[in-house]
Amino acid sequence: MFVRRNVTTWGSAALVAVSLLTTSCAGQDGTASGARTTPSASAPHGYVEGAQEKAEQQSRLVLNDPRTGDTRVLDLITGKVHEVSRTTGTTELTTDGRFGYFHTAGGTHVLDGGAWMVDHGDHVHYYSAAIRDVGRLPGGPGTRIRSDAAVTAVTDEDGRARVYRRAGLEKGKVGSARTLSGTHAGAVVPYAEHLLGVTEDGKVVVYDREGKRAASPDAQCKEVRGDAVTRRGVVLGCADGALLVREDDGTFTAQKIPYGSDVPEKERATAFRHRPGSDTLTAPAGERAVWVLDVTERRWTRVKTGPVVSANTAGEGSVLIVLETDGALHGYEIATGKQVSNTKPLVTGAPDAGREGSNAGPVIEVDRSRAYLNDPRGKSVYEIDYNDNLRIARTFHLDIEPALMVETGR
Amino acid sequence: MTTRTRGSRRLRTLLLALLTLALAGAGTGCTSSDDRPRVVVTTNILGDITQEIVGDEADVTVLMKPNADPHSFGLSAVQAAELERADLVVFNGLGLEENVLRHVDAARESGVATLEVGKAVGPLAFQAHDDGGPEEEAGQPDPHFWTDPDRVRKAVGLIADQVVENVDGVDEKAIRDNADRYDEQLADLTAWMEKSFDRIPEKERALVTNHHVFGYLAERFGFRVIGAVIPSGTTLASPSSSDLRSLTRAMREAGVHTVFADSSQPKRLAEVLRTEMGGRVRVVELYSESLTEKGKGAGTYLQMMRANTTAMTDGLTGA
Repeated sequence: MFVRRNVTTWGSAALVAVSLLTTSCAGQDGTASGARTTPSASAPHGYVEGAQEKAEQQSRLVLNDPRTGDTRVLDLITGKVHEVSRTTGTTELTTDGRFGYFHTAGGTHVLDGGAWMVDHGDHVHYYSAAIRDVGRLPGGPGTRIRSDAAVTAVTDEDGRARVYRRAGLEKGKVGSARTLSGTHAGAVVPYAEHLLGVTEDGKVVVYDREGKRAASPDAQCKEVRGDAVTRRGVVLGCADGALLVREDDGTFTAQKIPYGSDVPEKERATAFRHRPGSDTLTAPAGERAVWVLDVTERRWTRVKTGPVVSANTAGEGSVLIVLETDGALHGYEIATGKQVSNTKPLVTGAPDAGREGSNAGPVIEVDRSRAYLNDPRGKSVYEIDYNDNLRIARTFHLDIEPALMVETGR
Repeated sequence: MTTRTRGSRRLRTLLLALLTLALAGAGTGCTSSDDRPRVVVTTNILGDITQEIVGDEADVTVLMKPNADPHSFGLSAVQAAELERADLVVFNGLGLEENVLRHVDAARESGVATLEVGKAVGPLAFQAHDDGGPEEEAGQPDPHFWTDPDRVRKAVGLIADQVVENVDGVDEKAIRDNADRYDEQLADLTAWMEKSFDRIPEKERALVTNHHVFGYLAERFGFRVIGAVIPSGTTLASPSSSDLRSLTRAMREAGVHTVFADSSQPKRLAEVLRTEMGGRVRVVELYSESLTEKGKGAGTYLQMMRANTTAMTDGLTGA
């Protein structure tokens, strides 16, 4: 299924022609094997020249110092640091699991981190390839980029959304885009072979990948801020709680998960962080608490903490990890709200609570087995074993100040 | 922006036209290729087996490349077209070739003879997850029948029958002779595997593994399969006991010090397991779902089975 969608009509027409050309004389060499067809024609999906399938997840960190523009890719398997081309003035660094998106005033620079995963539901495949620059997507600061396996949706600060084919990015080219009609509040999110958006007046809209409007659930999300894709559906942060939009047999439905009580504007969830693939989301709840949204149970939990800089969790019973302004990580049991573990201060200098406007600073990235914390002024990254009392498993020393960090390879 | 798009579109049209012209020219010169009878096989394991049976009597096209994954390999448009022009399509089935099965269905619907080997040789059900089976497929038919050479012998007979029946122009006697000769080699393989495995004490015939493909071999030769999560690269760098728990628990349960798994750092994995378990631990790789290229260890089905048998026996007897 995946393969079919990745092949364009033009591409397949050409391949048919080229391949027929090569096979039309097939009988003459007498041998019989599939190897005769052109490599590009019979390549498995996820294939990129030079890419290797790996037995294990290929985790990497993309790190950037927005002041100097220095950029590094840290391979978490080998511990090696790769220097890549400089990107200055990055206001935000995001990822879809493979590509790093460096948001700057002049557009968004795209870096192929060279590590990714292809999910087949019951099993996954891991790939690694060379790190390379892909190019620049238009759209200044405030641009939001979301991807699935087939498309990358870019929503600019005015709410205009363009959809790029991910196959282009995978080949190292940005390519041309399809523009969606209308403007959107919040990001347009690829999900279940469709695209999900919220109109300026708060209505949920669904598009197919061609950009045509599809049957949309009759649902409202006022003042949408923050979104996350989980196995249970897409979660949107709304003024009065979360809206969970799901697809089942081609039909989209929406369900509100209300906060349950009045939540002041400055304490509502506005940006979610979670372990990719997890159904447990976190978001700061004002300055001294963190929201935990269990999407499976449709339940919000407000965990009281110290002054929050950043938070995340792997879900599935493991602790809520909170970086507080003391520079240390604190582990909270989500069900009871009790603090159960903490580290020594790790982040050099006092990190700010509730940073507004700037996205640079320490963040917590979580994968299936470890969490990562960047210490910009300390020029380091910490690897944390969250299932072992926030044990510091490894410390990576760098030659740059990694104020921006994302994890790829998923 | 718009002009560039239009320009490239024009270029594409031109290219297409050129390709079509070239194709038309090539087509007239090489019509003989379509006259050869053709058997198309999906997986490379079945491809090797089918080639042994068909010999020079027809063309055998194998769709899956060496060292590929049968679950994820896809077809090009031309391969799909080839399927529909085949005299016979041999495929594993039981859901193995996820991205190819719809093409096989399409070929069958257009009148091509097809043989779903996995279904025809008496499939087993996957074990429950707790007993080493995959997480979400317990009770489903297990497609990995080739790990039992007796079922492959059965498959050889069935493939030979189908070739004789559906592929015009083949010499039936030649096909039967090929099949008989290969069947003898498979009988030798089974006898040799039995003799090799006899060296492993019965209580130690346990495969601690993250592979889900050895259910048939286990049933045929009296092994237990104990599934385990193999720690990944990042956990191996600085593991805690909980990172290794699934694996150490499986090893204690099995009473063995050998793990059959693919790992990017087998030495490191063995080292951390030794710290945790005590004693020497071996990490042994097996061939599972794909042949390799010729001369790379498992170029044929027989080589693959012999290599795995040796690895299992040596791994469990400490040879």
